[in-house]
Amino acid sequence: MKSKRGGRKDYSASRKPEKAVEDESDEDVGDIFTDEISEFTDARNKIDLGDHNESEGEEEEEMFALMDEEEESDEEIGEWSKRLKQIKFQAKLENKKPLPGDSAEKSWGNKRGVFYGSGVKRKPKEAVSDEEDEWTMEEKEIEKLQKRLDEDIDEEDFLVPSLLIKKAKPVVSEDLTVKRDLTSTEKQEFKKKLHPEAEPLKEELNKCIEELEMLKDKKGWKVESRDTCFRLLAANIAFYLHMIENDEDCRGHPVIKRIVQWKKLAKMYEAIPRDQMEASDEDDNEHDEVTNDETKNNSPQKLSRKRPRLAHFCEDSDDEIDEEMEEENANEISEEGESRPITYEIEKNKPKKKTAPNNPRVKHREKFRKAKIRMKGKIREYRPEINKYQGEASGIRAGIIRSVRLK
Amino acid sequence: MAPPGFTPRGRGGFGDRGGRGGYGDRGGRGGFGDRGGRGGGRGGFGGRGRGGDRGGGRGRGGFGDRGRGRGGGRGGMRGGAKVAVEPHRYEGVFIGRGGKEDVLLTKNFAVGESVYGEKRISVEEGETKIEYRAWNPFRSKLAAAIVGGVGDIHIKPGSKVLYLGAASGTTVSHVSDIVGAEGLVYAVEFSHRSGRDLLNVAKKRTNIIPIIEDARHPHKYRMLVGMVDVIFADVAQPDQARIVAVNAHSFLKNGGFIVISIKANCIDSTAEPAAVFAGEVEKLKQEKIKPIEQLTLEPYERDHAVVVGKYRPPPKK
Repeated sequence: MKSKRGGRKDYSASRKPEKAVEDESDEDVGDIFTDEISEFTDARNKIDLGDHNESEGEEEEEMFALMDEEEESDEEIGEWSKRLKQIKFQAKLENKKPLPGDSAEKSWGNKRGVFYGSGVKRKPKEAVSDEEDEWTMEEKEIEKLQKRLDEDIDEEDFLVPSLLIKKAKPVVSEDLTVKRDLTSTEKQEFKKKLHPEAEPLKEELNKCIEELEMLKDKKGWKVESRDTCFRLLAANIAFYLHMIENDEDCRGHPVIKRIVQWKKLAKMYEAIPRDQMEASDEDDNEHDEVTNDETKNNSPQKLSRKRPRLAHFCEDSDDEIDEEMEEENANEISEEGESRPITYEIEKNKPKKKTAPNNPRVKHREKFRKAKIRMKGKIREYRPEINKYQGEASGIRAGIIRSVRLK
Repeated sequence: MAPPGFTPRGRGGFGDRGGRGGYGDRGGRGGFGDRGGRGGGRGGFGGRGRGGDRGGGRGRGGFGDRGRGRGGGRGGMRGGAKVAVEPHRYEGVFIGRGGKEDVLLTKNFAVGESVYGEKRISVEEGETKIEYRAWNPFRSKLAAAIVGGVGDIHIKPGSKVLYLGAASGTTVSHVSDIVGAEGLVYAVEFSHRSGRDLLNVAKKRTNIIPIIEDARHPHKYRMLVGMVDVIFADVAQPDQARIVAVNAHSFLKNGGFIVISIKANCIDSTAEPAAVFAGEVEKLKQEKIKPIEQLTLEPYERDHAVVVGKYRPPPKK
């Protein structure tokens, strides 16, 4: 403690002349009333203010109290100096206040070190008097610059495309569109541009839902199959829309193909009037037979086993289905044909590095273990006769010579 | 037996040896109810009830040509199982190929006798009947070397072998099988206890000359031993190389072979086995024994090696 205090005294003393100059330039009032003594006290007070919060403060005051008593001879000077002190303090506070504010946090974080990160440390707090001012000045300056920069920036500058899209989500679902309308039409348009297919898909979805509702009350496997078809179409579309909403990258996503396929099927179903669908199950059998015959005659292999029912319905469009299936297959093949890009590992084709144990003890243990194994090849292991010897289990070879020739 | 003598086999000494003796001793064996029962149960095919009466040879006539051995064990050469016997690369050594496992065999010199409870396999060819004894590589370093694939053991029918560290005479019995009636085995063993077993073996085998002496002092038995073709040493002493060399100088003919089994632990328990083997080979070289080959006995013995060398090989022309 003592040493610190002493140090501070010296420091402040050495700074005196500069301080005086500053004071004179800064304040007119100070000219008259401030002399060396007052300047000194100012300097001291400043420090006190700076360290106001510290617990040491009181002690310090006590220590300097003696000196104050000496100077109290001139009361006026004391008063003025006090005022000066106050003014300066206030000014300082004002300067400092904005710094820890939001703007400062935005621009460079809470700590100076975080922003500059140069590793240069400031002098210890106690020693800082004028230097602090320098720093604060610099901070202010930087902040000004930052503000100027900030003025140029619009909100839009901060909008990352993905965020933008997120806001635009409402396009897809009705609830959200309302909100979107409330927010901004521009973004809506942007969104539309980005996903032009979203709107028609939405309509399609609605259609599907309508269709499903129509089918609700009806019975029969035909209706069921029709129902499942539309359901799946709706599900796929919903999934796609969901992806768009979540701003996932849906370019080339397989779901698109699925949608197309289901759409085709749905069209086929639509071609058949709903009333016909309702036809009783009784004539199903006939239908089945007919279709079976037909399919057998036409191209039994081509029909996919997955959708025999569909085949019944769309007898007329059998060929279409076949085409479709072929297309599908072709697509799949092409998908497979387009080889995935090789990974980094494959490209480098490096043998896997054996990570030798970093631990020397383990390393030695491993070495010993391997040496033992190698030794087994050279010298057979000693195997005492535990059970009564019955003969050589591995046989005796008369011709073999295993001895080492000596010279 | 302990310190000064060369303990044959270096097998940890007394207790162990004694135990082994007991094993070799058929007495204890006979006691097994199991054994007798077996003989009885099997009786049909003339199982030779090995228990007490093994000398009797009553079951000899067995079944056809097939070796029926003692029929004791499960698995392998079970009595009654067909065993094809074929000769090994080394003369006097055979391989029995029967059930799952192959067995190293020697032709039994003392027919109808098991020395240490090993299996026997009889093969009948027309009138003559040949009996083989199984050779356990876990109990004999020479067998271990053979199964392990040593280049040559240099012990063949008719050879004269000086066997240092004969112990109870298990391996010696097989060596005596190999050399046959024409050959001779001088079996040197310093330990009286195992020497006793050795003597028992030698009683049945006329080609074994047991010598209960310290192999470090060949002059003590120089009157008994003539010139030999091969010295086999399994003495497991730190000065093994010197012992072998001294005996070689005394009894081994020029160009004769030595086959020594080295137990690394007995030479230098702190050094690496390979280093110990190399050191022994070096010592042999200094004693004018040219090392030819070396083989570790790994599955059967730990840190053992068999070194084959040639004593004073004739100079190359």
